[in-house]
Amino acid sequence: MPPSSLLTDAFRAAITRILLVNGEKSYSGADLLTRFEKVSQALAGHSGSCAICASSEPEDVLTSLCLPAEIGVSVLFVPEYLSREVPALAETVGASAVIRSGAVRLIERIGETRGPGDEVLLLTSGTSAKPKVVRHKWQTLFARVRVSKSEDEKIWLLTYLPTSFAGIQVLLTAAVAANTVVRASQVHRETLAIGARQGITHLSCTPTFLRSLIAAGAHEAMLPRLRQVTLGGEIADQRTLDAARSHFPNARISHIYAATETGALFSVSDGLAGFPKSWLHDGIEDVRLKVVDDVLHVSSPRAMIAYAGAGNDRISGWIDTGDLVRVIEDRVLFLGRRDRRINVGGSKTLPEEVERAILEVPGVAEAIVTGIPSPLSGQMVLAEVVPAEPGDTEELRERIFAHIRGCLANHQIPRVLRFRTQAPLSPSGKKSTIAQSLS
Amino acid sequence: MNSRPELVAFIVARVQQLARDKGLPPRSLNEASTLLNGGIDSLDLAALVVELQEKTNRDPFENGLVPFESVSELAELYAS
Repeated sequence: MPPSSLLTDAFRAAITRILLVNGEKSYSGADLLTRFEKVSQALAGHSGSCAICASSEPEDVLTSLCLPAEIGVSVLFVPEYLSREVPALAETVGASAVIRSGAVRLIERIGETRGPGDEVLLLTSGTSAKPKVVRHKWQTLFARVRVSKSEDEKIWLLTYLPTSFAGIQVLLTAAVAANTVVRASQVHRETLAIGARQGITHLSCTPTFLRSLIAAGAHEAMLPRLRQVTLGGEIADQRTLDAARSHFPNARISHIYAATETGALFSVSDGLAGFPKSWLHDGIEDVRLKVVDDVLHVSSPRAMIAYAGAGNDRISGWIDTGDLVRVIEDRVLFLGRRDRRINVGGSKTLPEEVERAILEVPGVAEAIVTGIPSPLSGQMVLAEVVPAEPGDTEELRERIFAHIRGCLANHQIPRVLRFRTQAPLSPSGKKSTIAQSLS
Repeated sequence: MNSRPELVAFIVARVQQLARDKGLPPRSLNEASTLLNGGIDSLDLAALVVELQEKTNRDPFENGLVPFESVSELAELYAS
Protein backbone atom coordinates (compact mmCIF):
# COMPACT_ATOMS: atom_id res chain seq x y z
CA MET A 1 0.00 0.00 0.00
CA PRO A 2 1.39 3.43 -0.86
CA PRO A 3 2.39 5.58 2.14
CA SER A 4 -0.21 8.24 2.87
CA SER A 5 2.34 11.05 2.69
CA LEU A 6 3.59 9.95 -0.74
CA LEU A 7 2.87 13.27 -2.43
CA THR A 8 3.76 15.66 0.37
CA ASP A 9 7.01 13.73 0.93
CA ALA A 10 7.83 14.33 -2.72
CA PHE A 11 7.08 18.05 -2.29
CA ARG A 12 9.38 18.13 0.76
CA ALA A 13 12.12 16.38 -1.20
CA ALA A 14 11.98 19.14 -3.82
CA ILE A 15 11.64 22.25 -1.66
CA THR A 16 13.52 24.52 -4.04
CA ARG A 17 13.04 22.57 -7.28
CA ILE A 18 10.32 23.55 -9.76
CA LEU A 19 7.79 20.71 -9.95
CA LEU A 20 5.11 22.39 -12.01
CA VAL A 21 5.10 24.96 -14.79
CA ASN A 22 1.68 26.27 -15.77
CA GLY A 23 1.94 29.10 -18.27
CA GLU A 24 3.58 32.07 -16.56
CA LYS A 25 3.39 30.45 -13.13
CA SER A 26 5.79 27.89 -11.73
CA TYR A 27 5.67 26.00 -8.45
CA SER A 28 8.44 24.55 -6.32
CA GLY A 29 7.88 21.76 -3.80
CA ALA A 30 7.66 24.45 -1.09
CA ASP A 31 5.00 26.37 -3.05
CA LEU A 32 2.89 23.24 -3.44
CA LEU A 33 3.26 22.36 0.26
CA THR A 34 2.12 25.86 1.27
CA ARG A 35 -0.84 25.58 -1.07
CA PHE A 36 -1.78 22.18 0.32
CA GLU A 37 -1.44 23.34 3.95
CA LYS A 38 -3.71 26.31 3.35
CA VAL A 39 -6.41 24.04 1.93
CA SER A 40 -6.02 21.38 4.60
CA GLN A 41 -6.28 23.99 7.41
CA ALA A 42 -9.52 25.32 5.93
CA LEU A 43 -10.84 21.76 5.89
CA ALA A 44 -9.87 20.99 9.52
CA GLY A 45 -12.64 18.91 11.12
CA HIS A 46 -13.98 17.80 7.74
CA SER A 47 -12.43 14.37 7.92
CA GLY A 48 -14.72 11.77 6.36
CA SER A 49 -16.42 14.26 4.07
CA CYS A 50 -15.93 15.14 0.41
CA ALA A 51 -14.59 18.31 -1.22
CA ILE A 52 -14.93 19.39 -4.84
CA CYS A 53 -11.87 20.66 -6.63
CA ALA A 54 -13.61 22.90 -9.19
CA SER A 55 -10.56 23.95 -11.10
CA SER A 56 -8.71 22.86 -14.23
CA GLU A 57 -5.42 24.27 -12.93
CA PRO A 58 -2.84 21.53 -12.30
CA GLU A 59 -1.63 23.21 -9.06
CA ASP A 60 -5.15 22.87 -7.59
CA VAL A 61 -5.43 19.26 -8.80
CA LEU A 62 -2.03 18.26 -7.45
CA THR A 63 -2.58 19.76 -3.99
CA SER A 64 -6.17 18.43 -3.77
CA LEU A 65 -4.86 14.95 -4.57
CA CYS A 66 -3.08 15.00 -1.17
CA LEU A 67 -6.35 15.40 0.76
CA PRO A 68 -7.70 11.82 0.98
CA ALA A 69 -4.53 10.31 2.38
CA GLU A 70 -3.36 13.24 4.49
CA ILE A 71 -6.55 14.50 6.15
CA GLY A 72 -9.19 11.92 5.21
CA VAL A 73 -11.22 14.13 2.86
CA SER A 74 -12.36 12.61 -0.43
CA VAL A 75 -12.10 14.84 -3.46
CA LEU A 76 -14.17 15.15 -6.65
CA PHE A 77 -12.45 16.79 -9.62
CA VAL A 78 -14.63 19.00 -11.82
CA PRO A 79 -13.04 20.80 -14.79
CA GLU A 80 -13.83 24.49 -15.27
CA TYR A 81 -15.94 23.90 -18.37
CA LEU A 82 -18.38 21.96 -16.16
CA SER A 83 -18.50 24.65 -13.43
CA ARG A 84 -22.25 25.05 -13.73
CA GLU A 85 -22.63 21.38 -12.71
CA VAL A 86 -20.90 21.99 -9.36
CA PRO A 87 -24.09 22.56 -7.26
CA ALA A 88 -25.74 19.41 -8.65
CA LEU A 89 -22.57 17.38 -8.22
CA ALA A 90 -22.21 18.69 -4.65
CA GLU A 91 -25.66 17.23 -3.92
CA THR A 92 -24.78 13.94 -5.59
CA VAL A 93 -21.63 13.36 -3.58
CA GLY A 94 -22.65 15.27 -0.42
CA ALA A 95 -19.73 17.69 -0.73
CA SER A 96 -18.91 20.00 2.18
CA ALA A 97 -16.49 22.35 0.42
CA VAL A 98 -15.39 23.68 -2.97
CA ILE A 99 -11.73 24.34 -3.74
CA ARG A 100 -10.87 26.86 -6.43
CA SER A 101 -7.61 28.76 -7.03
CA GLY A 102 -6.12 27.46 -3.78
CA ALA A 103 -9.05 28.80 -1.72
CA VAL A 104 -11.74 26.84 0.06
CA ARG A 105 -15.42 27.74 0.21
CA LEU A 106 -17.45 25.74 2.70
CA ILE A 107 -20.93 24.62 1.74
CA GLU A 108 -23.67 24.87 4.35
CA ARG A 109 -25.94 21.93 5.08
CA ILE A 110 -24.56 19.65 2.39
CA GLY A 111 -21.90 17.30 3.61
CA GLU A 112 -23.87 15.52 6.31
CA THR A 113 -22.72 12.27 4.77
CA ARG A 114 -19.51 11.03 6.27
CA GLY A 115 -17.51 8.17 4.85
CA PRO A 116 -13.99 6.91 4.99
CA GLY A 117 -12.80 10.05 3.15
CA ASP A 118 -10.31 8.02 1.16
CA GLU A 119 -11.74 8.39 -2.33
CA VAL A 120 -10.79 10.22 -5.49
CA LEU A 121 -13.87 10.91 -7.63
CA LEU A 122 -13.50 11.58 -11.34
CA LEU A 123 -15.86 12.48 -14.14
CA THR A 124 -15.90 10.30 -17.26
CA SER A 125 -14.56 12.13 -20.28
CA GLY A 126 -17.91 11.73 -22.04
CA THR A 127 -17.00 12.32 -25.69
CA SER A 128 -20.55 11.34 -26.55
CA ALA A 129 -22.52 11.20 -23.30
CA LYS A 130 -23.17 13.13 -20.10
CA PRO A 131 -20.29 12.64 -17.65
CA LYS A 132 -20.72 10.21 -14.77
CA VAL A 133 -19.00 10.33 -11.38
CA VAL A 134 -16.54 7.45 -10.99
CA ARG A 135 -15.34 6.56 -7.47
CA HIS A 136 -11.79 5.31 -6.95
CA LYS A 137 -9.98 4.41 -3.75
CA TRP A 138 -7.01 6.72 -3.27
CA GLN A 139 -4.82 3.68 -2.57
CA THR A 140 -5.85 1.97 -5.81
CA LEU A 141 -5.22 5.07 -7.88
CA PHE A 142 -1.70 5.29 -6.44
CA ALA A 143 -1.07 1.53 -6.51
CA ARG A 144 0.98 1.49 -9.70
CA VAL A 145 2.66 4.85 -9.22
CA ARG A 146 6.19 4.13 -8.11
CA VAL A 147 8.89 6.39 -6.83
CA SER A 148 11.47 6.29 -9.57
CA LYS A 149 14.91 5.10 -8.47
CA SER A 150 16.68 6.52 -11.47
CA GLU A 151 18.61 9.74 -11.03
CA ASP A 152 18.05 11.26 -14.44
CA GLU A 153 15.66 14.11 -14.55
CA LYS A 154 12.37 13.69 -16.37
CA ILE A 155 10.31 16.58 -17.69
CA TRP A 156 6.73 15.73 -18.58
CA LEU A 157 4.50 17.62 -20.96
CA LEU A 158 0.94 17.64 -19.62
CA THR A 159 -1.39 17.60 -22.63
CA TYR A 160 -4.45 16.15 -20.90
CA LEU A 161 -7.04 18.00 -18.91
CA PRO A 162 -5.54 17.96 -15.37
CA THR A 163 -8.85 16.77 -13.84
CA SER A 164 -9.14 13.74 -16.15
CA PHE A 165 -7.98 10.24 -15.29
CA ALA A 166 -5.10 10.56 -17.78
CA GLY A 167 -4.14 14.02 -16.51
CA ILE A 168 -4.06 12.79 -12.92
CA GLN A 169 -1.90 9.81 -13.90
CA VAL A 170 0.67 12.15 -15.45
CA LEU A 171 0.61 14.55 -12.49
CA LEU A 172 0.97 11.70 -9.97
CA THR A 173 3.67 9.82 -11.83
CA ALA A 174 5.77 12.94 -12.19
CA ALA A 175 5.13 14.34 -8.72
CA VAL A 176 5.96 11.25 -6.66
CA ALA A 177 9.32 11.05 -8.43
CA ALA A 178 9.82 14.81 -7.86
CA ASN A 179 9.95 15.34 -11.64
CA THR A 180 8.77 18.48 -13.39
CA VAL A 181 5.45 18.72 -15.23
CA VAL A 182 4.99 21.42 -17.86
CA ARG A 183 1.48 22.15 -19.02
CA ALA A 184 0.94 22.30 -22.78
CA SER A 185 -0.67 25.34 -24.36
CA GLN A 186 -3.93 25.34 -26.31
CA VAL A 187 -1.92 26.39 -29.34
CA HIS A 188 0.34 23.73 -30.83
CA ARG A 189 3.04 26.14 -31.95
CA GLU A 190 3.26 27.49 -28.41
CA THR A 191 3.30 23.96 -27.01
CA LEU A 192 6.24 23.14 -29.26
CA ALA A 193 8.06 26.28 -28.15
CA ILE A 194 7.40 25.40 -24.49
CA GLY A 195 8.48 21.80 -25.05
CA ALA A 196 11.70 22.90 -26.74
CA ARG A 197 12.47 25.55 -24.12
CA GLN A 198 11.81 23.27 -21.17
CA GLY A 199 13.58 20.29 -22.75
CA ILE A 200 10.73 17.86 -22.28
CA THR A 201 11.65 14.19 -22.07
CA HIS A 202 8.21 12.59 -21.69
CA LEU A 203 5.17 13.23 -23.83
CA SER A 204 1.85 11.62 -22.97
CA CYS A 205 -1.03 12.46 -25.30
CA THR A 206 -3.87 11.20 -27.48
CA PRO A 207 -3.10 10.03 -31.05
CA THR A 208 -5.15 13.00 -32.32
CA PHE A 209 -3.00 15.39 -30.28
CA LEU A 210 0.20 13.79 -31.60
CA ARG A 211 -0.97 14.00 -35.22
CA SER A 212 -1.82 17.66 -34.84
CA LEU A 213 1.49 18.34 -33.09
CA ILE A 214 3.30 16.69 -36.01
CA ALA A 215 1.17 18.71 -38.46
CA ALA A 216 2.28 21.84 -36.56
CA GLY A 217 5.89 20.88 -37.25
CA ALA A 218 6.97 18.68 -34.32
CA HIS A 219 10.05 16.59 -35.02
CA GLU A 220 13.09 15.24 -33.29
CA ALA A 221 15.38 18.23 -33.82
CA MET A 222 12.86 20.44 -32.06
CA LEU A 223 12.48 18.15 -29.04
CA PRO A 224 15.92 16.53 -28.90
CA ARG A 225 15.61 15.30 -25.31
CA LEU A 226 12.32 13.47 -25.90
CA ARG A 227 12.75 9.82 -24.95
CA GLN A 228 9.23 8.59 -24.26
CA VAL A 229 5.99 9.08 -26.20
CA THR A 230 2.93 7.50 -24.59
CA LEU A 231 -0.30 7.45 -26.59
CA GLY A 232 -3.64 6.90 -24.86
CA GLY A 233 -7.30 7.84 -24.70
CA GLU A 234 -8.06 6.80 -28.29
CA ILE A 235 -7.07 4.00 -30.65
CA ALA A 236 -3.36 4.11 -31.44
CA ASP A 237 -3.48 2.93 -35.05
CA GLN A 238 -0.45 1.65 -36.93
CA ARG A 239 -0.05 4.80 -39.03
CA THR A 240 0.10 7.05 -35.98
CA LEU A 241 2.54 4.70 -34.22
CA ASP A 242 4.72 4.69 -37.35
CA ALA A 243 4.53 8.49 -37.60
CA ALA A 244 5.61 8.77 -33.95
CA ARG A 245 8.53 6.43 -34.61
CA SER A 246 9.70 8.29 -37.73
CA HIS A 247 9.41 11.75 -36.18
CA PHE A 248 10.98 10.76 -32.87
CA PRO A 249 13.41 7.93 -33.72
CA ASN A 250 15.21 8.18 -30.37
CA ALA A 251 12.09 7.94 -28.21
CA ARG A 252 10.41 4.81 -26.92
CA ILE A 253 6.87 4.75 -28.31
CA SER A 254 4.14 3.04 -26.34
CA HIS A 255 0.39 3.08 -26.14
CA ILE A 256 -1.59 2.53 -22.99
CA TYR A 257 -5.06 1.17 -22.51
CA ALA A 258 -6.90 2.80 -19.65
CA ALA A 259 -10.28 4.30 -18.86
CA THR A 260 -11.72 6.29 -15.99
CA GLU A 261 -13.83 3.30 -14.88
CA THR A 262 -11.28 0.55 -15.36
CA GLY A 263 -8.15 2.41 -14.32
CA ALA A 264 -4.84 1.82 -16.07
CA LEU A 265 -4.89 -1.65 -17.66
CA PHE A 266 -1.82 -2.23 -19.78
CA SER A 267 0.86 -0.67 -21.90
CA VAL A 268 2.14 -1.92 -25.27
CA SER A 269 5.65 -0.99 -26.41
CA ASP A 270 6.43 -3.26 -29.37
CA GLY A 271 5.53 -0.59 -31.91
CA LEU A 272 2.50 -2.48 -33.18
CA ALA A 273 -1.16 -1.47 -32.96
CA GLY A 274 -3.44 -3.47 -30.66
CA PHE A 275 -2.09 -6.07 -28.24
CA PRO A 276 -0.94 -9.72 -28.37
CA LYS A 277 -3.75 -12.24 -28.73
CA SER A 278 -2.16 -14.40 -26.02
CA TRP A 279 -3.23 -11.80 -23.43
CA LEU A 280 -6.85 -12.88 -23.95
CA HIS A 281 -5.80 -16.24 -22.51
CA ASP A 282 -3.07 -15.40 -20.07
CA GLY A 283 -4.05 -11.90 -19.00
CA ILE A 284 -1.41 -9.23 -18.61
CA GLU A 285 0.04 -8.84 -15.14
CA ASP A 286 -3.03 -8.80 -12.87
CA VAL A 287 -5.50 -7.72 -15.58
CA ARG A 288 -7.75 -10.25 -17.30
CA LEU A 289 -9.25 -9.73 -20.75
CA LYS A 290 -11.96 -11.39 -22.82
CA VAL A 291 -14.02 -10.61 -25.92
CA VAL A 292 -17.82 -10.89 -25.77
CA ASP A 293 -19.77 -10.10 -28.98
CA ASP A 294 -16.74 -8.27 -30.41
CA VAL A 295 -16.51 -6.03 -27.31
CA LEU A 296 -13.50 -6.12 -24.99
CA HIS A 297 -14.32 -6.93 -21.36
CA VAL A 298 -11.75 -6.45 -18.62
CA SER A 299 -11.25 -7.36 -15.00
CA SER A 300 -8.74 -5.41 -12.96
CA PRO A 301 -7.94 -4.99 -9.26
CA ARG A 302 -7.52 -1.26 -9.95
CA ALA A 303 -10.99 -0.68 -11.35
CA MET A 304 -13.36 1.86 -9.80
CA ILE A 305 -15.42 1.14 -6.67
CA ALA A 306 -18.66 2.09 -8.48
CA TYR A 307 -20.39 5.07 -10.03
CA ALA A 308 -21.52 7.62 -7.42
CA GLY A 309 -25.08 6.95 -6.38
CA ALA A 310 -24.83 3.26 -7.26
CA GLY A 311 -24.35 2.03 -3.68
CA ASN A 312 -21.21 1.02 -1.87
CA ASP A 313 -20.74 -2.45 -3.29
CA ARG A 314 -17.56 -2.53 -5.23
CA ILE A 315 -18.18 -3.62 -8.81
CA SER A 316 -16.75 -7.07 -9.15
CA GLY A 317 -15.83 -9.18 -12.10
CA TRP A 318 -15.94 -8.11 -15.68
CA ILE A 319 -16.40 -4.58 -17.02
CA ASP A 320 -17.78 -4.00 -20.53
CA THR A 321 -15.39 -1.43 -22.04
CA GLY A 322 -17.57 -0.56 -25.07
CA ASP A 323 -14.48 -0.97 -27.25
CA LEU A 324 -15.02 -3.10 -30.36
CA VAL A 325 -12.09 -5.35 -31.21
CA ARG A 326 -11.16 -7.92 -33.86
CA VAL A 327 -8.61 -10.70 -33.63
CA ILE A 328 -6.38 -10.73 -36.70
CA GLU A 329 -3.76 -13.46 -36.63
CA ASP A 330 -1.90 -13.12 -33.30
CA ARG A 331 -3.04 -9.57 -32.58
CA VAL A 332 -6.16 -8.03 -31.04
CA LEU A 333 -6.94 -4.76 -32.83
CA PHE A 334 -9.22 -1.96 -31.62
CA LEU A 335 -11.86 -1.03 -34.21
CA GLY A 336 -13.80 1.74 -32.51
CA ARG A 337 -16.30 2.67 -29.82
CA ARG A 338 -19.62 0.85 -29.82
CA ASP A 339 -21.45 4.09 -28.96
CA ARG A 340 -19.97 5.96 -31.93
CA ARG A 341 -21.33 3.44 -34.47
CA ILE A 342 -23.30 5.04 -37.27
CA ASN A 343 -26.44 3.34 -38.61
CA VAL A 344 -26.83 4.12 -42.29
CA GLY A 345 -30.06 2.64 -43.56
CA GLY A 346 -29.63 -0.39 -41.29
CA SER A 347 -25.94 -0.94 -42.08
CA LYS A 348 -23.59 -0.24 -39.19
CA THR A 349 -20.37 1.59 -39.74
CA LEU A 350 -17.58 2.62 -37.41
CA PRO A 351 -16.43 6.22 -37.82
CA GLU A 352 -12.95 5.18 -36.69
CA GLU A 353 -12.68 2.85 -39.71
CA VAL A 354 -13.65 5.65 -42.11
CA GLU A 355 -11.26 8.06 -40.35
CA ARG A 356 -8.38 5.58 -40.70
CA ALA A 357 -9.10 5.19 -44.43
CA ILE A 358 -9.12 8.97 -44.98
CA LEU A 359 -5.95 9.40 -42.91
CA GLU A 360 -4.17 7.03 -45.32
CA VAL A 361 -4.40 9.67 -48.05
CA PRO A 362 -1.22 11.75 -48.35
CA GLY A 363 -1.92 15.40 -47.53
CA VAL A 364 -4.55 14.64 -44.87
CA ALA A 365 -3.58 15.74 -41.36
CA GLU A 366 -6.78 14.77 -39.55
CA ALA A 367 -10.20 13.29 -40.20
CA ILE A 368 -13.31 13.46 -38.05
CA VAL A 369 -16.25 11.29 -39.03
CA THR A 370 -19.69 11.58 -37.45
CA GLY A 371 -23.22 10.38 -38.05
CA ILE A 372 -25.82 13.01 -38.92
CA PRO A 373 -29.54 12.24 -38.52
CA SER A 374 -31.19 11.84 -41.89
CA PRO A 375 -34.93 11.52 -42.55
CA LEU A 376 -34.29 9.05 -45.39
CA SER A 377 -31.55 6.77 -44.06
CA GLY A 378 -31.57 7.09 -40.26
CA GLN A 379 -28.09 8.53 -40.28
CA MET A 380 -25.59 9.60 -42.90
CA VAL A 381 -21.82 9.83 -42.79
CA LEU A 382 -20.22 13.26 -42.52
CA ALA A 383 -16.46 13.66 -42.82
CA GLU A 384 -14.48 16.71 -41.82
CA VAL A 385 -10.93 16.78 -43.04
CA VAL A 386 -7.98 18.92 -41.98
CA PRO A 387 -5.46 19.24 -44.84
CA ALA A 388 -1.78 18.95 -43.90
CA GLU A 389 -1.08 22.14 -45.82
CA PRO A 390 -3.25 24.89 -47.22
CA GLY A 391 -3.75 24.52 -50.94
CA ASP A 392 -6.01 22.99 -53.56
CA THR A 393 -8.72 21.18 -51.59
CA GLU A 394 -10.53 20.10 -54.78
CA GLU A 395 -7.54 18.02 -55.80
CA LEU A 396 -7.26 16.57 -52.27
CA ARG A 397 -10.97 15.82 -52.26
CA GLU A 398 -10.64 13.83 -55.47
CA ARG A 399 -7.74 11.82 -54.10
CA ILE A 400 -9.62 11.11 -50.84
CA PHE A 401 -12.66 9.75 -52.67
CA ALA A 402 -10.56 7.81 -55.19
CA HIS A 403 -8.82 6.12 -52.22
CA ILE A 404 -11.81 5.38 -49.99
CA ARG A 405 -13.92 4.05 -52.88
CA GLY A 406 -11.33 1.30 -53.07
CA CYS A 407 -11.37 0.31 -49.41
CA LEU A 408 -14.78 1.17 -47.91
CA ALA A 409 -18.28 -0.17 -48.56
CA ASN A 410 -20.79 2.12 -50.27
CA HIS A 411 -22.69 2.88 -47.03
CA GLN A 412 -19.43 3.85 -45.27
CA ILE A 413 -18.46 6.47 -47.83
CA PRO A 414 -19.16 9.99 -46.53
CA ARG A 415 -21.78 11.77 -48.60
CA VAL A 416 -20.76 15.13 -47.19
CA LEU A 417 -17.08 16.00 -46.90
CA ARG A 418 -15.91 19.34 -45.61
CA PHE A 419 -12.52 20.86 -45.06
CA ARG A 420 -11.58 22.70 -41.92
CA THR A 421 -8.36 24.22 -40.66
CA GLN A 422 -8.16 22.50 -37.29
CA ALA A 423 -9.53 19.37 -35.64
CA PRO A 424 -11.98 20.10 -32.85
CA LEU A 425 -10.53 18.64 -29.65
CA SER A 426 -12.69 17.83 -26.66
CA PRO A 427 -11.40 19.11 -23.30
CA SER A 428 -9.89 15.67 -22.72
CA GLY A 429 -7.73 15.98 -25.84
CA LYS A 430 -9.76 13.48 -27.81
CA LYS A 431 -11.39 14.23 -31.10
CA SER A 432 -14.61 16.04 -30.39
CA THR A 433 -17.29 13.88 -31.96
CA ILE A 434 -20.40 15.71 -30.85
CA ALA A 435 -21.25 17.11 -34.27
CA GLN A 436 -24.99 16.61 -34.45
CA SER A 437 -25.77 18.85 -37.37
CA LEU A 438 -24.13 19.96 -40.56
CA SER A 439 -23.57 23.55 -39.57
CA MET B 1 -35.07 33.32 -49.91
CA ASN B 2 -35.17 29.74 -51.13
CA SER B 3 -36.70 30.19 -54.53
CA ARG B 4 -37.24 27.23 -56.82
CA PRO B 5 -34.54 28.24 -59.33
CA GLU B 6 -32.06 28.69 -56.49
CA LEU B 7 -32.90 25.26 -55.05
CA VAL B 8 -32.70 23.63 -58.48
CA ALA B 9 -29.22 25.10 -58.96
CA PHE B 10 -28.19 23.91 -55.47
CA ILE B 11 -29.48 20.37 -56.11
CA VAL B 12 -27.83 20.16 -59.54
CA ALA B 13 -24.48 21.32 -58.12
CA ARG B 14 -24.64 18.88 -55.19
CA VAL B 15 -25.67 15.89 -57.35
CA GLN B 16 -22.79 16.64 -59.71
CA GLN B 17 -20.43 16.84 -56.73
CA LEU B 18 -21.75 13.51 -55.38
CA ALA B 19 -21.20 11.97 -58.83
CA ARG B 20 -17.63 13.31 -58.98
CA ASP B 21 -16.97 11.94 -55.46
CA LYS B 22 -18.13 8.53 -56.70
CA GLY B 23 -15.91 8.73 -59.76
CA LEU B 24 -18.89 8.69 -62.12
CA PRO B 25 -18.67 10.16 -65.60
CA PRO B 26 -19.99 13.75 -65.79
CA ARG B 27 -23.64 14.07 -66.71
CA SER B 28 -25.61 17.17 -67.55
CA LEU B 29 -28.58 17.78 -65.30
CA ASN B 30 -31.60 20.02 -65.44
CA GLU B 31 -34.75 20.36 -63.43
CA ALA B 32 -36.48 17.55 -65.32
CA SER B 33 -33.66 15.05 -64.67
CA THR B 34 -34.39 11.95 -62.61
CA LEU B 35 -32.32 11.94 -59.45
CA LEU B 36 -31.81 8.17 -59.04
CA ASN B 37 -29.91 7.75 -62.24
CA GLY B 38 -26.38 7.32 -63.49
CA GLY B 39 -25.04 5.86 -60.24
CA ILE B 40 -26.69 8.24 -57.75
CA ASP B 41 -28.18 6.05 -55.00
CA SER B 42 -30.57 6.44 -52.12
CA LEU B 43 -27.74 7.24 -49.69
CA ASP B 44 -26.71 10.13 -51.90
CA LEU B 45 -30.28 11.41 -51.80
CA ALA B 46 -30.32 10.98 -48.01
CA ALA B 47 -27.35 13.34 -47.80
CA LEU B 48 -28.90 15.79 -50.21
CA VAL B 49 -32.07 15.90 -48.13
CA VAL B 50 -30.10 16.64 -44.94
CA GLU B 51 -28.34 19.51 -46.69
CA LEU B 52 -31.57 20.90 -48.05
CA GLN B 53 -33.08 20.71 -44.58
CA GLU B 54 -30.12 22.67 -43.15
CA LYS B 55 -30.31 25.23 -45.95
CA THR B 56 -34.03 25.88 -45.80
CA ASN B 57 -34.86 24.96 -42.21
CA ARG B 58 -37.74 22.85 -43.52
CA ASP B 59 -38.41 19.16 -43.06
CA PRO B 60 -40.96 17.91 -45.60
CA PHE B 61 -40.40 14.34 -44.34
CA GLU B 62 -41.53 15.18 -40.81
CA ASN B 63 -44.71 13.14 -41.19
CA GLY B 64 -43.32 10.35 -43.31
CA LEU B 65 -41.90 9.72 -46.70
CA VAL B 66 -42.97 11.97 -49.57
CA PRO B 67 -42.27 10.59 -53.05
CA PHE B 68 -40.07 12.55 -55.42
CA GLU B 69 -38.21 11.57 -58.57
CA SER B 70 -36.90 14.59 -60.40
CA VAL B 71 -34.77 17.58 -59.47
CA SER B 72 -37.76 19.90 -59.70
CA GLU B 73 -39.95 17.66 -57.51
CA LEU B 74 -37.30 17.69 -54.79
CA ALA B 75 -36.83 21.48 -55.11
CA GLU B 76 -40.59 21.96 -54.81
CA LEU B 77 -40.61 20.27 -51.39
CA TYR B 78 -38.28 22.90 -49.97
CA ALA B 79 -39.30 26.01 -51.92
CA SER B 80 -40.77 28.95 -50.06
